[in-house]
Amino acid sequence: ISQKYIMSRYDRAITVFSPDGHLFQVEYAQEAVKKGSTAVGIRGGNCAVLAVEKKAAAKLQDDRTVRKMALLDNHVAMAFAGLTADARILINRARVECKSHRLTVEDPVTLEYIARFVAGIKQKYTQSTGRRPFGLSTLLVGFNVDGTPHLYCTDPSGAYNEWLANAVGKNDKTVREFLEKMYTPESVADEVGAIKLALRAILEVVQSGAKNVDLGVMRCRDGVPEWEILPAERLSALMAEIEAEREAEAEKKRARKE
Amino acid sequence: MAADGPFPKRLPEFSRAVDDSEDSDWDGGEDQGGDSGRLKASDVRSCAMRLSPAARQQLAAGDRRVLDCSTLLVGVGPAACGFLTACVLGDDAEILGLISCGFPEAGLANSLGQTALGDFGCFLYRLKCNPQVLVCHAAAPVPPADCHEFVELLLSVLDVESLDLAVLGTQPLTSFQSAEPASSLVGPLLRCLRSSAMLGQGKAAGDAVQQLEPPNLLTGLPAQLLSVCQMRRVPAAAFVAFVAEADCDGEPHRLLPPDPAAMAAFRPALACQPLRYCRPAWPPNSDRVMRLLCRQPGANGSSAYLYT
Repeated sequence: ISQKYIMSRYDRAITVFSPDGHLFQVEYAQEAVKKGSTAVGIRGGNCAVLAVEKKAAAKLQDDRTVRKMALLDNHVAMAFAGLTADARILINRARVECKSHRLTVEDPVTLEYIARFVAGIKQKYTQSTGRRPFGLSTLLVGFNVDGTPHLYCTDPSGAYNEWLANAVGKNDKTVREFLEKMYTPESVADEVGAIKLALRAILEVVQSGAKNVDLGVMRCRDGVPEWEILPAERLSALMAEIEAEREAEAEKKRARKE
Repeated sequence: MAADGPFPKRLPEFSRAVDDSEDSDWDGGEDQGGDSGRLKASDVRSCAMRLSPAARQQLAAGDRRVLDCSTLLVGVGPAACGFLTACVLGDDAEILGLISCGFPEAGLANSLGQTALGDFGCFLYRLKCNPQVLVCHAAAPVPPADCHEFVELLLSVLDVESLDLAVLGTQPLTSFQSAEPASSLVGPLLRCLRSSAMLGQGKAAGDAVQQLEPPNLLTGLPAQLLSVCQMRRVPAAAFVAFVAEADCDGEPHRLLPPDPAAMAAFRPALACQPLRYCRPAWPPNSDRVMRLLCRQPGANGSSAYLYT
């Protein structure tokens, strides 16, 4: 039986496996993620960084309402890639869960807890009739109560994993390959190193320029978590530094060849 | 499914996971996909073609039972089909027929009107302003096992001796092999492979599209088309655009609108044979091409706010 015929019978209902074990709606949702622009997450030694490709807002659009990163609690931030409306719903539910957890347990959520919560919602939508999966992947960064930074990634199937560095969205493979080459615990031991690595990674697939990138840093000062989105001037200065470092490396390589 | 020529006969495929003896227990309800029953093994066909009444008339009228055609353009995948729709077909085309893979012929009833993205037909169009030009849209993916049969079926209604053929397709940028590191490749890239008949006739002279460098390979339906044309000495050119993976052909990408950047990758092909003379006052200038591409469904930003 041809692949086409198999898919025609098994790709319309979320609750049906195909004979070769595919859940096509979940796979289609994973493809919808690739339609979203790139987001990169890095877990540093003393911080966690999110860098996202900033979409150009339409001329008449208020660009403050076009955000790819959101704060879920004062110690947890999330970036996503995929369907915008689905992200809004998940963010709202995660925020409610964070507050509810604080009120009930009198402790802030751990990163693992909130990642499992978000992934659990997504998984439920892959097993219900009349619904479709969430078409987005998320990167969750933040600090646990013990002061350690974490980075988690969830995908439309409801899987979640902890990462040292990861990317979602368009060109995620290219960025992940770059991170696999360049990530070392020493290079991200301090905040500046982690920020620069995130910027270098996103600049692999995004045109250079502060107007094309948003970068957020979650840090912990005296036990108090702090989320900062770097202003455009600071981003431009960092990008200029990265460009200068790249040129210096290229010059060294040329000198070695000669 | 017997194949004439050098290609071996393809054996039918059956899945042992599907047990035909359990038919009576299956309710075929909406939640299960809406089908009313399984097909018997004898009903399973690979490819089938359905022609419009006008096309059938033309076939019956001629001595050689072929359609009038000097140029065949085949688009494989949503980006290539979107490009051909925008820049070649426009509103100026009639549907001649439909080729479908994976369904029995009975499933093609009333299928000529089903042109939605989610349907499985590969449509054959004729350009009204230049009836010698036929365009085949293989937007739905053709399984590798069916490619040979698809090509044989398509060429069976054409006079290959007087045919020029161009096939447009996409492959992932990440599969492009070159001396430069993958991270420095800026897509989309357009490359071309031509049959020796096309090179021999000097039709490729001065063409703007670079040849596909080894060790890169053409795969899928474009490769099958070019191979058959090479064997039958048909002047043919395959234009392959290396684009971001999300814009390539194949399930499930075909159900999302093609990206204008992926479609625009084929622009240089407009200046090459055999696309060059498909329409009067051709090729259009760059600005006009981009305007045409941006008018394609989904290309002009209706998905701009859908995805972040």
